Amino acid sequence: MRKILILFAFTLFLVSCKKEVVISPITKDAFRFNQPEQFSSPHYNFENNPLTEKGFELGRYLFYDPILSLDSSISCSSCHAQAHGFADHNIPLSKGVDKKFGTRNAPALMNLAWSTSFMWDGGVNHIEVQPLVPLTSEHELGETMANLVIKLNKNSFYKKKFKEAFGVETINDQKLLHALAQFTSMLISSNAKYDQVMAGKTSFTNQEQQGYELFKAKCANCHTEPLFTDYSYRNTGLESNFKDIGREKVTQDPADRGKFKVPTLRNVEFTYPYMHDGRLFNLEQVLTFKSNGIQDSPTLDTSLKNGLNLSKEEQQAIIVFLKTLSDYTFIGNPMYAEPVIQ
Amino acid sequence: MKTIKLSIAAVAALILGLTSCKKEETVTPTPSAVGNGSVSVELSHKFGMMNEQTLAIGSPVVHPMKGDTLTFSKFKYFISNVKFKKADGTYWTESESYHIVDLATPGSLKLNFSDLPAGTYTQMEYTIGVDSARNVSGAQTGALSSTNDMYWDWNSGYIMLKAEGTYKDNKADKMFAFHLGGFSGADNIVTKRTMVFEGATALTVTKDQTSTVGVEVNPGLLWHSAPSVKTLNMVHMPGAAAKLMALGDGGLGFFANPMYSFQVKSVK
Ligand code: HEC
Ligand code: HEC
Repeated sequence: MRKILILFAFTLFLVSCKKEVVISPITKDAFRFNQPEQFSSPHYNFENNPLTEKGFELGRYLFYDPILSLDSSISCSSCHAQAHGFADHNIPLSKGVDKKFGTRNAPALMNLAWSTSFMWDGGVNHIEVQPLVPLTSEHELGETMANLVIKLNKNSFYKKKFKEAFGVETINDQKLLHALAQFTSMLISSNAKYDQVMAGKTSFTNQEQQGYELFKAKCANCHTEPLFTDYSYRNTGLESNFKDIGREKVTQDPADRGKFKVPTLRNVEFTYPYMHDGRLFNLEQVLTFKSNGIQDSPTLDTSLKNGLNLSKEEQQAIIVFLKTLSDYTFIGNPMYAEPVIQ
Repeated sequence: MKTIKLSIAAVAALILGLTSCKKEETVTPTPSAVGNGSVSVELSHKFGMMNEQTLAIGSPVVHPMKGDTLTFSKFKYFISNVKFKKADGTYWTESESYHIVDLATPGSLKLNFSDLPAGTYTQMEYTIGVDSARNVSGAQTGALSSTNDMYWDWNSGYIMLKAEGTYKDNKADKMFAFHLGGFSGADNIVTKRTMVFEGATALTVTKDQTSTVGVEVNPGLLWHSAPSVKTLNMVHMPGAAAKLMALGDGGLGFFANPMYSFQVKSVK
């Protein structure tokens, strides 16, 4: 009995510190964070922002609503479209409310709950504060947070929705950011052919298998399975004279010059054009570049110093493998689609 | 004997389990037998070697060491994590303790603390800036809300001090803008400080009354180690320049100067 008591006490001690995903069961079919078995536990754990169906739905409304922009012209979805894995509509750079182009390609949005930093240079340290950049940038939505809060508080639809989701009479910026984070962190893609193969439910074709072997040898040191990124920053030799210094902008360290965050390759078939500035239009161009287009500079990643030297046939096999990362249940998931406002 | 040892171990483990995850000490102000009172810390901003100039938005001041004539259009900074230490060694800790002091908003120059147990207090412990935890924990409210315009969104972190305005350069008016921040590693400027109440400025909190602490603040110390604004008129990210202004050489800058940046002048 005593032993049990001690054991119990110690277990309590151990579990009480574990960060757990907090889910409030508010619907009959419990709405929850679908932790894919093959992934580690997420970095974002909803600690101060308990996930609920109402909160998620509100985030979804907001994501698709141009009310968030200065002149009600664009929304998050203008630059992040579901059919493209929530990357841009296949354009290299996007226009904001000022009708001017930004300088970077809108990345795909998926599995963000596992990300430890955001943006190509990793300047943003938390998923909840990420929307502050697009919301207030004049090249994007062009609003001020103070004005946005006033605007939402005058809107009876959102007054009601925020009350349902968070029980608040007055909308504030924190709740707005919490709602958006509930939507963006729930964008989970884990059901591609690759996942089925790994789970033993189906198998690769010979060419896919060849591509997978090459991928593990040449690419996986950065595009690490199963999320297909190791979340590090690397200079992959796109240029040697940097127009965009990337990570150095954040750290001010010349050793970070030209380094960008390793992007996931899940759904990469749909997210073209590629790279931080959208300079490469298709996977053939990406593979040609990675094989023999790499430009040397002091910060170039050591694993790329001699190029990857892939034959055309090998490149093709890798492309075929990359297409096994396409997750149709993700880009077609009605839960993520533009909501219809009744 | 064994039983007792084991139960002690169990209880200890249990307590450990219950307390180990608490994020911060929460001191619930318990209404003591002697009752509770309030403290108002009133900040008046000065300039000059002997605090002889009054710093206000729109009126020019002259820096005693650098000779610069500066007219501030904005001066804002964070004071946070305030605790009052009692003579008996116990603390009263303010919860959600984040304040923006804004020279343009008279109300913000009085930091009001209520429900302190009556008694004698020897010091106030506080932080200039925002602790690293709140810089990495996502969306916040109150003084830490993004609507206060004291946050860098593209390089996540609080702007812990904003000083903007104009200076004279050969009769021409030029702009200065200093946005100081940095909460981690070598860039950290968050500074813990202590204000001591002793002798003529001893602090006694009395039931149902407000004690007023008069403090003179001298932002001129931003330039104790930093060069003239004619040389450096802009800082907009964490790094060496922000540290030079906030911490200064030998810790004599505005955030860190132990003697002159925040001086208790009176307690009433
Ligand atoms: C005008 C186009 C545009 C709009 C509108 C826009 N974004 Fe983005 N988004 C981008 C670009 C470009 C980047 C990459 C920026 C960078 O790296 O500097 C990005 C990056 C992101 C990221 C980081 C992804 C990662 O893996 O690092 C997230 C999350 C995101 N956007 C969410 C949103 C949300 C939520 C909204 C609406 C509030 C929004 N975006 C509106 C263009 C846009
Ligand atoms: C040294 C690390 C590293 C290696 C090795 C590497 N990559 Fe990358 N990859 C990156 C980084 C970093 C980027 C983003 C670069 C940028 O935008 O400047 C990237 C971008 C990409 C993109 C564009 C994705 C998008 O959404 O824009 C594709 C596709 C890609 N890599 C495929 C591959 C393949 C296939 C291989 C192996 C043949 C490979 N990579 C090897 C680091 C690496």
